[in-house]
Parts: sequence; C-alpha cells; structure tokens
Amino acid sequence: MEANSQAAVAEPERGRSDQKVGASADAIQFHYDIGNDFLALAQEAGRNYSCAMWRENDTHETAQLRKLDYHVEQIRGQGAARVLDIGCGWGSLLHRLVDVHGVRRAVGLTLAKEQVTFIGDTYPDPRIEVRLQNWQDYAADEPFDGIISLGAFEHFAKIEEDKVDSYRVFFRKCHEFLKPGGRLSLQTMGYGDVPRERKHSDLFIAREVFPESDLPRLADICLASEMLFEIEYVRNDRHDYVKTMRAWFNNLRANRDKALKLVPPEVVDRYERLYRTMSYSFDLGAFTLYRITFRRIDQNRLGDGYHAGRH
Amino acid sequence: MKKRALWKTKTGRGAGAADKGKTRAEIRGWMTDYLVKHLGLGEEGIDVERPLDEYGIDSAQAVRMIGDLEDYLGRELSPSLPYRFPTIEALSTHLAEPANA
Repeated sequence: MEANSQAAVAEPERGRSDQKVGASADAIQFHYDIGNDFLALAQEAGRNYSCAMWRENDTHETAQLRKLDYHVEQIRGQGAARVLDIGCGWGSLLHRLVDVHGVRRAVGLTLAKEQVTFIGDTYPDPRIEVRLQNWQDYAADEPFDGIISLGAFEHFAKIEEDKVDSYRVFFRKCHEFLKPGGRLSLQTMGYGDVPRERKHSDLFIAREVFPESDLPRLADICLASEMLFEIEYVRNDRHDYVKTMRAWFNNLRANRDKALKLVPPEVVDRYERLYRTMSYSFDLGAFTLYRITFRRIDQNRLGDGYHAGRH
Repeated sequence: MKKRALWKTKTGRGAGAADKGKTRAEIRGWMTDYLVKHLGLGEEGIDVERPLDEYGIDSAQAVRMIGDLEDYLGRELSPSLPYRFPTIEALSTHLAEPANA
C-alpha cells in the first residue's frame, strides 16, 4: 500500500490568463508562497488559513476543527466515497476527511506549489490526492459526493471583472463536479455595509497582500448560483473572524523574532497590520463571513421550458 | 475563549511594577503627535476638541490609528472608538478612565 499521498502535479494552465476568471497562479503564490515557515508563525497547529468556528472554552485548534467538521456535516460527507476540496490550503481538511470522517477519496486543488509539497510530506495517505491545478482546468474522472471550499472563493473574481459572471463559471464547474443531489459547502469573506460604489477604502489589502482578489457580495453569490444550485442555508459568522484574525495577529506578534529571521521587518509589519485591520473590519461589519450550503439542482419535473442545471 | 464585552477594554499588562495605564495627558500627547506626523500640520494646528473627521481622517485612517494606539497602550481596543469618542479630548479621557485603565 502506497505510503505517500498522490501529489499529482497536473501542469497548471500557463496559457493566456485572460481566458480565466479570478486570481492567477502568480497572484496566489504572491501571498501563500511568501514562505511556508513565515505564514506558519501566524497559523495554529492545523495550518487552517480560514475562519474558525468558536465556542466557549475553545482553543484556536479546536475551533478550527469544529469549522472543518461543520462543513463536512453540511455536505453529508461522513463515509462518502469522494469529496473535493477547492483551495485545499495546507491540507487539514483533506486529512480530516479521510482520518476522522471515513471518506474514501479526498481530492484537493491548489495553485500554491509549497502547499502541494507540504501536504505530501505531512499527510502521507493514499486516500488523499492533491493537484496543483486551477478548478477551471480540472476535469474530474468521476463525480463527487460533495465539495467544500474554504477561504478560496475570495480569489475567484478579480476586482475589475464582472463578478457575477466569474462566480457563475465556478458554480457551473461545481455543478459538473457533483453527483446529482450533491452539496457544496462554501465559506467566504464578503462585503457587509460597504456601499457598492465605494470599494473598501483600505485597498492596501488588494494591492499589497492579495493582489487580483476582491470580496464577494451575498447578492452576487445568490445571483450567480441561480438555476444551478439551491441555497439551503446561509450563515454570517463575522464574529468568528474577529477572533481568528486577532489570533493570527497575536501569534505573529509573539513570533516576531522568528519572523524577522525569515522576512524583512516591513513584511512582518504588513502582515500584522493586515490581520489586525481585518479583525476590526469584521468587528465593524464592513466585512462578513458567509457559510453557505448549496445543493445541486437537477431536473425533476416535466416541461416548463427550462433545464435545471444547464444555465 | 474569554468573552470580551465590546464596550470595555481589557486591562493591559504593563512592564512597570505598578502600571496604572497611561494618563489622559499622555494619551492626548500621543494622539497629537500621531496626527502631526500623519497630517503634516504643526502642533498648533491640532485642536483637541475638534472632531477627527474635520481633519480629513477617513475611517480607514482612524482604524489604523486605533491599531497603533493598541500598541501604545498595550491592550486591545474597539475599532468603533473614533466614532463614539470623536475628538482627541474625548478619546483620551475615555481611555484614561480608571475603569478602563
């Protein structure tokens, strides 16, 4: 039995990036490949780089696991044959799926090379497959029981793009990836009480830390998924992100000496400022944190002149 | 995870043996210096009773100031403070109160 996870390094499509929506591989790597070791200084043990789900007496670690289990439950993932993780980060969900939830095959997609390496080294499990590949290029050999995507959707549309169109490409692909009746559990930041005409004035986030990415609005997510997915459940847990961002800030601050050995002081300051400013934004309600459960729509009635799932 | 009531600030742990937190005058001075540095005004141009947004400070800059103020005071602060206490005088008074020190 193979000890290593299958790190299928599918050639990322380096063709014309204007054919694709969302952030390019280079833009993704700008933030995430700053160095595994540097980002690890902010993260908790599981290296979950998305919002945790906090309950009384939680540590950051248990709050992150609670979040993972929430999403697995939403897609009815327990004991599933195949689950897809779009934007799999450092693999904690992939591991959780096979290790605790008995999923037989967990496939993760990422555009960050260092993450592929990390997952291969950290979770040698033949049930895990990680691919250095854009979801737009991925052609699954078999459909999935469920899809989970955590903190990746923010990268799926560029600032200048028509976001609804870009998100619709994502929902069409997810529809394709899923078995009939399959579910997608999505977690993404969003804009809250920021007027549409005015971008969040701290564009420093977009310019310096997450190039080419902008936050979605709930209305646009809903519009983009019409006729493809039924929205079963929506939660806005922005207070979870107040705590999570603050935890990353505190960790990085506590590890400042180690951080300075890896990157220049301006970079440490930039990330500290990012985490704390974002904590404030969630506190104020300028940003939201959506957890949305979608169910694939399939044709189930005669006529009516439309074809569910084919829009 | 300790619940942090939104309207109160945690007691900071200072380096000194009997740290009572910064005084109102110290905080007022810090904020004045901060605005001078970021606005390019002379100190005489700063009126502690003048609403911050009359200096052309937007919400992003105010929030950035709160971050730096956290570091100065050594404790977490709420980002709604510049809105609730919109002058240097009001904010420094609020932050120096014994209940919040």
